[in-house]
Amino acid sequence: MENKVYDIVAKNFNMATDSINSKTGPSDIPLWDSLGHMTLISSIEQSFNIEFEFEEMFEVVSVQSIIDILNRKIEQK
Amino acid sequence: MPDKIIFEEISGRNTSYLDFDKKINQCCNYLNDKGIKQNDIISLCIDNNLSFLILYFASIRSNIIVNPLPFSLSSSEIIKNLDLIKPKYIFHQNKDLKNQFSSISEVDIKSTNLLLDVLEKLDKNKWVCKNSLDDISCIYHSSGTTGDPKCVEYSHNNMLNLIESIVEGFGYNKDTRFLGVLPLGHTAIINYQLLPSVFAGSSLVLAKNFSSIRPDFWDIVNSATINSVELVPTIVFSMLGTPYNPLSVQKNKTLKYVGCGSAPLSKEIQITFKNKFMIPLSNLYGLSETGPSHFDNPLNKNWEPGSIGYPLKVNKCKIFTSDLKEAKDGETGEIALKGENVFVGYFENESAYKKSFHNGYFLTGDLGYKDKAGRFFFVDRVKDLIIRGGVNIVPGEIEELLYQINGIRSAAVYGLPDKLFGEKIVAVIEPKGVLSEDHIKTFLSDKLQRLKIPEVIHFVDSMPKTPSGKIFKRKLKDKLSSS
Repeated sequence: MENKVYDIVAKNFNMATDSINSKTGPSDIPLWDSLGHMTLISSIEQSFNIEFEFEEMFEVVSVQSIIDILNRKIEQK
Repeated sequence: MPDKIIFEEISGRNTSYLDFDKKINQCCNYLNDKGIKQNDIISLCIDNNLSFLILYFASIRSNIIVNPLPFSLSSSEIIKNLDLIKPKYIFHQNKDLKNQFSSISEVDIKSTNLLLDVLEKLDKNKWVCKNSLDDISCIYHSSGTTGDPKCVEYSHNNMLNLIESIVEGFGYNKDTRFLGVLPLGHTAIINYQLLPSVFAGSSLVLAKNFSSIRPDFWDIVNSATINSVELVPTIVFSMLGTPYNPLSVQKNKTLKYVGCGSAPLSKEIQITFKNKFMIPLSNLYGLSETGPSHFDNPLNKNWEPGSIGYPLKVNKCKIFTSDLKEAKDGETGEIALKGENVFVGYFENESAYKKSFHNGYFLTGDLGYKDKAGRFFFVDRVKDLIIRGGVNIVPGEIEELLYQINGIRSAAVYGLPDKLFGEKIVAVIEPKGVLSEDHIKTFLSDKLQRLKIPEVIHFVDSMPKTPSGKIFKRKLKDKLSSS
């Protein structure tokens, strides 16, 4: 799952996948602005066929936080 | 004053007025050495950092026309924009643009430090350049009043009058501390924050983008004693969803209100914002052609959420009915502006420029009304335009690409309300054969930034048409919304 998240983040921001790691966040990617944030969430939702709660969208502050939310959601299923 | 900090980058670099002035002189020499002369055009597609600021102000000082581009544009979109104005140079950070141009020179600004190293070797003495206030200072890309992409020519005279009026109207002075989070390629931050901060002799604290400081927003406001912030509705929405420490919010004593522009703002969001953060949210209105034209001051006693406020001193505002008569108070019509802030032309498109005026008033393409107290209200747009997350999107741009896909007989694109982005993009397709949603999205994603990819794609057997044979979008919208 982690690699899939890395791929989505990389594709969303037009970057190479190997430049993404769990600590990557908005301060590392200039295109990860508020709009980039929303399009990223939307891509994650579509790829994993899940829906983020309103508060969860803004829990995301790094790639690791996306993975944490996904793990939590998979456990809840 | 010379030692006062003009720009404080959140990343840690501080630049004084004196040092910035020297760097601008050095950059004037740098541009001159590259053969860029007065009235040449350069485009900038650089993220929020000192490189942009130096190149921007050096262009203004050298009387070179500067064309800022949003950093989020895809390389295809950048190439399309540059085809319109054909600048002499583009300064960018996009590796995909390497060797893409035959007649435009390009400089990849890999890092600000590299640019600073180059400048350091150049003469820092005062650069003198003869120019006229009527010369063009900037070219901005705009959707124009008819929805066709156009390039707005803004003169030095426009810029000076506008910024003087903003500084006076908003009450900015040398003690104002601006926090800039919007992309420097957008006119919103240039007109509301960058130019006013320099004009007033104050300081701009600059973030890479809002997302990078979102969790720490209120701590930054408090520690940097910020008293001016300009946002767009999508950022406001993300602030409302962020679990801020109530103590950080309560600690704010310097920021009396927050400005929000670039896209329509609902009254409901204004009220929710005030309840959550205990300061009001001002509804700012303006266009690329005029810059900010009104000021909605929430500190006024008769402040009315939902209004865009009163016109700035630099311009007069009228409302025209559809037969171009002046509307009565309360009557909705087209918002029209006249003043020294109104642009001087559309690049190589004089007929479109002339068509945009009535009795010396620029017809904005926006609908609004004035109440009895003289406050103005934005109602809707006349033009066929989608505003998504503060970005103006011309449906025709997406439709044009859709028609390049084999298997599409006709296509129509429009916007529908969306809580997150203000509007979402809907594409309606009349296929010739078998066509999948994935195929369409993949095709578009190679050519457009993600924000412009339609979220919803409908397939229909036929399109409703107007008597003249055009696709009847309103009917299509109503039909699909009710089904």
